[in-house]
Amino acid sequence: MLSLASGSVFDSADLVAVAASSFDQTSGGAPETPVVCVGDTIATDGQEGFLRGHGTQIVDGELVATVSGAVERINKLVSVRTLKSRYTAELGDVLVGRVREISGKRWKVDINGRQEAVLQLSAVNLPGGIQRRRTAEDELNMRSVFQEGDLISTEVQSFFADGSVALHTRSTKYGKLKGGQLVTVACSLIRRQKQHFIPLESLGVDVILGCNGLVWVTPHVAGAPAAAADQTSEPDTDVEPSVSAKQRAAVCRTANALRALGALGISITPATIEDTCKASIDAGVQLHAMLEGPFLEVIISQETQRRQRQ
Amino acid sequence: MEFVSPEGLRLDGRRPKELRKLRIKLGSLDGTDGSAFVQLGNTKVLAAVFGPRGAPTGARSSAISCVIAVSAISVQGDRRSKERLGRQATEFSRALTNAMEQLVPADILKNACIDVHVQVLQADGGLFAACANAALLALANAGVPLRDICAACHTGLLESTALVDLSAQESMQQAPQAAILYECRTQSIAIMQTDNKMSTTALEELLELATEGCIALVTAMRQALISSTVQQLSTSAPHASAAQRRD
Repeated sequence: MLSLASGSVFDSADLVAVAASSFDQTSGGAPETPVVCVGDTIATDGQEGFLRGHGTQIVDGELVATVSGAVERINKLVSVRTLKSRYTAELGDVLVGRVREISGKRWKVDINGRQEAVLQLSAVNLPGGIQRRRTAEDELNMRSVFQEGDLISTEVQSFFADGSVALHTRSTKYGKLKGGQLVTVACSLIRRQKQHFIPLESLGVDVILGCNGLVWVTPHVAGAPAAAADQTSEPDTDVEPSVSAKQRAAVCRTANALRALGALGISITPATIEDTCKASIDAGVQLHAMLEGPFLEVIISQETQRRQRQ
Repeated sequence: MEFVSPEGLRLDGRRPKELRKLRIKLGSLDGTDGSAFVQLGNTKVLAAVFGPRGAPTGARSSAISCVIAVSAISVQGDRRSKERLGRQATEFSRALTNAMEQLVPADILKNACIDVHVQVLQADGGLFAACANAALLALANAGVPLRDICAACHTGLLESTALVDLSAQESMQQAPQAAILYECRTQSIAIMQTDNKMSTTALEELLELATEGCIALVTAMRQALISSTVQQLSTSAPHASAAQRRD
């Protein structure tokens, strides 16, 4: 088996290869997921008719993959799921995005997707939390809510006819993010789950797992689950909340754990984050050493053991 | 000069219909949506894809752009030969952009743009074939839908022998040469680039050989894509117990 401990330089492709070779030894008789490449014909022999899903096209009555990935069959629907691609929005997804520009009555938000998403002025809570029609004055004051470059947590509200995404932040848990750290991972590593605002009390941090692969880590706040800037209270002061050195270290440890998991291509769940952080504490690994070979090997062996237990 | 010895070997010891060694590495560049490193003999190119992403305000004429950059360290020789290669690269990147526009379904490019950047690290014959292969692999690695799987291959007719995948020394000759980008499923040629005078029979012979070369390359490219997908699938496999523990 390859070893990461040696002095050579590894890139992300190598890391995934090493992790995969370790996990493969455990999977033994696990059912193989069918994998196809661009241009491959997908077998539909045993099926009575089929529906063309994402990542496929029909050529001369045959179903042909247009992307490389795993074949998924749900009743008659046949689709190919890519493992590395831009985020495709689904209704109700919790996202972390960055405001790119303000145009007319809307903000354009970069959500790491195929197009920029739109956040309408009518889809945000006004400062003070008043419920009323948006006036021309509100339109002029849009920058007091979100400015260009702001990081926001938001939810997918609906889709436009052309497939672009409409967002909303009409809940106190959504809104501007500050006083934390952003980590970007592949969006396929974050699965949809019941909760995306996750308080990890044992680590002293709150995490927002954006379905688009953006993860926000902040120091834990008792009570409120990973609350974003409270829009109902005073208007934004733009003052970063004060954070102690210990809290910073906790945030940094969690962020590095996320980066390490992302580099190895391991799915990110509250359990894997907690386990990785605990392993780093148990092994006495310094924060800066969490992305280096020796600790990555620890994560791989931990994950291998977990899969063996199943 | 003798390009094929009586024993049927070329200057670098290959047979006339033998490709150089191909090495492919996918997804090694962080911060890109997809990337591919392709090494064909001593030719090394690196391709990266950014997008599909929201098109910048002020829409451009083309939603997909492919830029081939020849780095200063890639070629031996004086400044003029580098500049010549740079000009050829510009020309070829236009052709490649056109081919990609046909390959990527239109609905992907609605309000979006894709940028493909190819950097030549070392130039040694068959350069544009390597660039095209790297660019297409990077697109596939980025999960961009493609209508068909393609490969590009360079051939030449030296001393009335058709040779596949010319080395730098062979491609410097004033002999008929043809490079094609071949769509394997539809069995059609997307780009054809010819150099020097040739008869129609010579062209036919070269195209036939280039097609064979492309099919061989596609097999290797397909393998690389599959193994990279399998690796990613095996690392990110869901672990049921982890989810249960939380609930």
